[in-house]
Amino acid sequence: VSQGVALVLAGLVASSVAIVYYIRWYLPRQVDARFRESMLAFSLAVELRFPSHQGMTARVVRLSLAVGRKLMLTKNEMRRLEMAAHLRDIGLCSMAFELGNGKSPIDWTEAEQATYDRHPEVGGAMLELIPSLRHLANIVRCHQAAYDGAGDTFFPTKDDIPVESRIINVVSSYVWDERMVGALIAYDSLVRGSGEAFDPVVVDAFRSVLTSTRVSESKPLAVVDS
Amino acid sequence: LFVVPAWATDRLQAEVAWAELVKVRSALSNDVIVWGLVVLAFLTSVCCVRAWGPGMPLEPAVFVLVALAFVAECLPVDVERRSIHFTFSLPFVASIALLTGPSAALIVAVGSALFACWLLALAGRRRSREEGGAFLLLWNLGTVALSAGAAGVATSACGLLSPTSDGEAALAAFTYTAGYGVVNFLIVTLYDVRLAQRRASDHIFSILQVGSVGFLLYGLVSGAVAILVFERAFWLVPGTAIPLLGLRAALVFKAGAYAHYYETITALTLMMQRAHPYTHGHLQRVANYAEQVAMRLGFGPGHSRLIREASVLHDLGKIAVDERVLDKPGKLTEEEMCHVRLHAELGAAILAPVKPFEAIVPWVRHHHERPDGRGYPDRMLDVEIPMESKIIAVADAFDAMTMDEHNGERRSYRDPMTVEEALEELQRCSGTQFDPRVVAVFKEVVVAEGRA
Repeated sequence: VSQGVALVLAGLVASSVAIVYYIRWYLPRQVDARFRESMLAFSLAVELRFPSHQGMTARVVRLSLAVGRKLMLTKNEMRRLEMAAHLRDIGLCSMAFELGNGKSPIDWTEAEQATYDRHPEVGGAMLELIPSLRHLANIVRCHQAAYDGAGDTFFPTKDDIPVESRIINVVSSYVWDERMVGALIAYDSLVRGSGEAFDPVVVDAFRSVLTSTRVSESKPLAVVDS
Repeated sequence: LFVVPAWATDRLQAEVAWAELVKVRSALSNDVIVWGLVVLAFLTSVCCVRAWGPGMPLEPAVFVLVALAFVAECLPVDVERRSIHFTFSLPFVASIALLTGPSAALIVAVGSALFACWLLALAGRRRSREEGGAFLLLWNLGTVALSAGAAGVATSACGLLSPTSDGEAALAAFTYTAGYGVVNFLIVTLYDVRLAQRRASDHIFSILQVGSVGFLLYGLVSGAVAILVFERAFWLVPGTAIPLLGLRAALVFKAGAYAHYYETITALTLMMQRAHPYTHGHLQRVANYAEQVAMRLGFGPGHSRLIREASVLHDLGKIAVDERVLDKPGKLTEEEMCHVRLHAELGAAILAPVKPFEAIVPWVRHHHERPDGRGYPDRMLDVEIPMESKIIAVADAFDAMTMDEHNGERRSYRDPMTVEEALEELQRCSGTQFDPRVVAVFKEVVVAEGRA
C-alpha cells in the first residue's frame, strides 16, 4: 500500500468517525432542541391568550411522558407524544377571547361551545399546513375523541385512535379538571370514564403514575382509589 | 445541485410549486435564455466528445466508479422550500474524467441524471416526466452537461488531465469538482433569478446556510477518490461512500431544520390569523416594505431577511389581545389602550424560547417605541431603540393608514388615507413618533414601488 493510499485511508477513517458523531449525536440534538423551542412558543401563545391554561401544558407534557414510559412506547412515539402534548390546544386560538377570560363555560351559548368543541379539528387542520409537523395532525385531531366512539362518528374509535391521542386525552382532561374542580373529583371522573371516554389501559397506567412517589402531588390521591 | 420545481416529495409543497410552474411555464418554454442554455449544453457535449475523443482505453475498473455514480445520483436530498436538490455523484464523475477523459465523465453524468429521474419517477418519489414536463428534464440535463463540460475545460486548462502523482490527481479532482460546482451554482441561480423570480442574494444565502462546510468536505472526498484511482486501489473506492452518506444525512438534518424554521413562522402567523382576521396581505406588505427599507439603509441581505421575518411576526402578541377591543369602533378607553399595548411585550415573550429568533425578540418588543420617549413598553429614547424596530414601526404605520381592501383589516375608526396623505402624516410625525432617517428612506421605497 503506497503512501497516498495510506493517507487517504487515514483521512477516510478520521472523517467517518467525525461525521458519524456529527450526524448521530450532535445534529439530532440540535434539531430536537429547535423543535422543543418552537413547541414552547406555540403552547405559550395559547396560554397567554387564555390565562386559565397557564402552566397547564408543562404539566400535561410531564405526565403524558410518564404515562408513555409506563406503556413502554417507542422512542418515536414518545417524541410525537411530547410534541403533540405541546400542540394539542393550538386550535383554541380560533375561540373568542372572552370565552377564556371571564365568561364561565356555564354561560357559553351553543355556538360558543361549538367553537370550543371543534378546537382539535382546527388544530389538526393548522398542522396539516405545516410539513414538518404534519405527522402530528391526526394525533391532535383525535386528542378528545371518546374511546367508545360516543358522540362523533367522524373520529376513529378504540385502538384506531392513535395511542398518543389516547394518552393526551386522559392526561389533559385530568389536569384541566384538577385545576377547575380539584384533584379528587378529577380522579373520580377519570376512573368513571375509563372504558367510555378514556382508554382503560391508559387510565390504569395514569393511575399508577399518579400514585407513584415520583410525581409530586398537592393532595394525596390514593384514598379515592375504588 | 439541480432544480426540481414540481418534483418536490412533499405533496402540499409540490402542489404549490406545480401551480406556480404551470402559471409561468408557457413563458418559460419561450424564454430565450432557457433554450440558449439547452443549445449551449448540447454544443458543449458535442465539443467535449470531439475534443477528447474516446479518451484512454476503457479499464474494467471504471465500472466501479460508474456504478457508484449511478447509485449516488439516485439518493438525492430535496430541499423542498427552495425547490432544489443535491446529489453526491460528483467525486466519482471527477475520477472518471481523470481516468477515461472528460467526455466519458460528461456522458456518465448525464446518463446517471437521466437514470435517476426515471428511477425516482418509477418509485413514486417524484412526478414522472410527462407530469413534470420534458422541458424541466431537458433543463436539468442541460445543466449537468454544461457543468461537466465546463469542469472538463477547467481541468484541462490547468493542465491537470493526466496527473503524474498523487497530489496532482487530488488537485485535478478538486479542480474538476470546483469547476462543476461553480457553473452548476451559477445556472441554478440564473434559474432562480430569471424564472422563479427570486433574488440572487436569497439563493446564495440559503445555499451557504444549508451547507458551507459540506462543500469543502465534498471536494476533499473527490480528491481522495482520485488518489485511490490513481494508485489503482479500486477495491477501496466504495469506502468513500461512508463520508458521502454521512454528508448526505447531515444535509437532510440541515434541510429539515431550515424548513422547520420557516414553518414555525408560518404556524405562528396561522395562529395569529385564527385569533384575528389579519390578512396575509397586511403582513406581506409590511414585510416587503421593511426588507426594502433595510436594504436601502445598508443592512446586508441576511440581516434584511431577518428584519423581514421580524415584521411578519411583529404583531404576534395580538394572539393574547381581546379581538373585541382591537375591532372596536371609536376611541379606546385608557384601560383598553393598556390592554392593547400589552401585545408588544407578549409577542416578544412568545418568541423568546426559540433560539433562532433570539435576534428578533427585542425588535418585536420595541416596535411601538417612539424616538421622543413616549412609546411602549419600555419608554425608550431615540438612541436606545433598535433601528430594526424603527423600520417595522414605519412600515406598519404606513400600511395601517393606507389599507382598505379588506374588511377585517380596516381600522374601523377612520377611513383609509391615500398614499400621499399617509406619507405626509409620516413626515409630520417624523422625529417624534418615527425616525426621520427611516421615514426618508421609506418615502424613496414607496416612490420606487410606484405607489406615489
